Amino acid sequence: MPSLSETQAGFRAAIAGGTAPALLSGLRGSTDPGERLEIYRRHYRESFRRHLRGRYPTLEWLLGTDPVVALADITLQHSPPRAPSLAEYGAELIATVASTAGLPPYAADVARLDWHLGSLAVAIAHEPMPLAALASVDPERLGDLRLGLQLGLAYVTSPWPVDELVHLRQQDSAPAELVFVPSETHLELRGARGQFSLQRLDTGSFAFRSALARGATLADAASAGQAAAPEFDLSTALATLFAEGLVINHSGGNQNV
Amino acid sequence: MTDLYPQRSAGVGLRLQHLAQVLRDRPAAAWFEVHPENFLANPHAAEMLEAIAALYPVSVHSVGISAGSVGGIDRTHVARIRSLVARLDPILLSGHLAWSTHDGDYLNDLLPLPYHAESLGVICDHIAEIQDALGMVFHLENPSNYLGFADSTMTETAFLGEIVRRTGCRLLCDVSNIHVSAHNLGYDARRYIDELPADAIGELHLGGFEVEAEAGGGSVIIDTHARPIAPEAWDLYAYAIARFGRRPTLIEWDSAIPSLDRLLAEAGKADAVAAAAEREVRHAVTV
Repeated sequence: MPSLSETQAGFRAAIAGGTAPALLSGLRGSTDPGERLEIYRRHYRESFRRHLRGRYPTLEWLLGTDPVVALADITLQHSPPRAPSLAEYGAELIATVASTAGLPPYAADVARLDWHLGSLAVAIAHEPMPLAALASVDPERLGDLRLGLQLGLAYVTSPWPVDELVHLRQQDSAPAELVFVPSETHLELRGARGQFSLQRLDTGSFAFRSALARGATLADAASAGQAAAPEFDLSTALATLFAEGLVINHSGGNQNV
Repeated sequence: MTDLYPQRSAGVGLRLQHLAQVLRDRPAAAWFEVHPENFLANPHAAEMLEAIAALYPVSVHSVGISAGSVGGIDRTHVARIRSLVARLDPILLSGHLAWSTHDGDYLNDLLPLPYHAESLGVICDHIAEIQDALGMVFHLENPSNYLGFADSTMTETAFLGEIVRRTGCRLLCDVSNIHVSAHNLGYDARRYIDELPADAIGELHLGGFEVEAEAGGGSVIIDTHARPIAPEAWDLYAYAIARFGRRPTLIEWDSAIPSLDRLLAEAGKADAVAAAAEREVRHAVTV
């Protein structure tokens, strides 16, 4: 009699891999246990395909269903999920796209956008902090400040204008011919409570905001902005950031009390 | 004394696409069941669910807790469920007689167990751990099976009864699963119900299924939760009510999900079937 561990290992191999002759001889319930085992195999395959297709709508719109299903199968084979919350599974497909020959050079960036937008859309927007709240910070320590941004934010850069593809997909518009030329694009993705949006940023603002999102101090984020664009103006960038309601808290600067 | 069965009317499974409607329209639903796995990585949905839990009784039904995994249960996952349970204050907690993970890989299915001493020890240890961690009685659901194991030494009903005896958990009797497994594995569904410990039944489930032809000329029933409850399952539900008495009953519909009104109508039908079954029992007792 096989141990429970051997039985479950065999079942896993049969479902996720291929055949498991030793397991089959221990199964009962129909004249052909292999046919019944195929029900579990089919559910495993189809449920993950369905999930991954749902997470990459623009990629599927761009490539078609069959190629995305093939990418999903490769991803599942190489990087099966490790946690029972299926919603968290699927970022690994981006690496599959990036390493698959024959796809458009911007396909991985499209996948990256899809993944972020799906994740951001379920975030919760927090009450924004007003710029006036910084009045309590010791001016000498302002540079040490770290600004906490809304959770539904991501910063993505691509050598292609991939946001155009997302907009086309959202409009359900497929032009007969799409002229798509490389163009360095810096994107801010926002999402909350079922909604999402994309906006292009200039290089200075992108460097500044993405540095803040990574947890950089205000001084380091300002340096990143100036390094990316000499015309970067911290006062304007800061005022815009607060005006757009993207700051929710701050830490690291001593309070001027 | 605490009423063990506070919900006499049937509830429905609450899926993501209906959350906003429930909050907006506040339909006349008796109670809702949720899968915590749908909310753990979805703060927006969890926020809506918390608001719904303040309006309606909610039951937490885990589809990923994998109580039958020989490699142990995922304690991180249990801790996340505990956090959700603390926010929702659910009326019931349940999961499956099944396993879903092996060597850390999550297989996204409710896979069958052989019924023998080793598997009994594994699942009893895990149910005890889950109950301790979550501070609630666990309701263990009988699975829908397509296969059995040659090395099983106990029937499923004996296995379930022994788990109840050892852990103090209760049973979630999925009536449709009994019909599905009885057809697929060739046993008598009513006899299965007769063999279950009636006092341990804390909840009933009903879900839709589909029949597929098999190569040898037979058929297999697939537990899809994508269709209305079939007449055979309604008949078996009436038999279960006659045997166990009224229990909180849940309509499951997990794919090709219909309108909320359609789901609530199915719950209303469950109430009517249960009431009729109760009347028949009373009539039989008085004549």
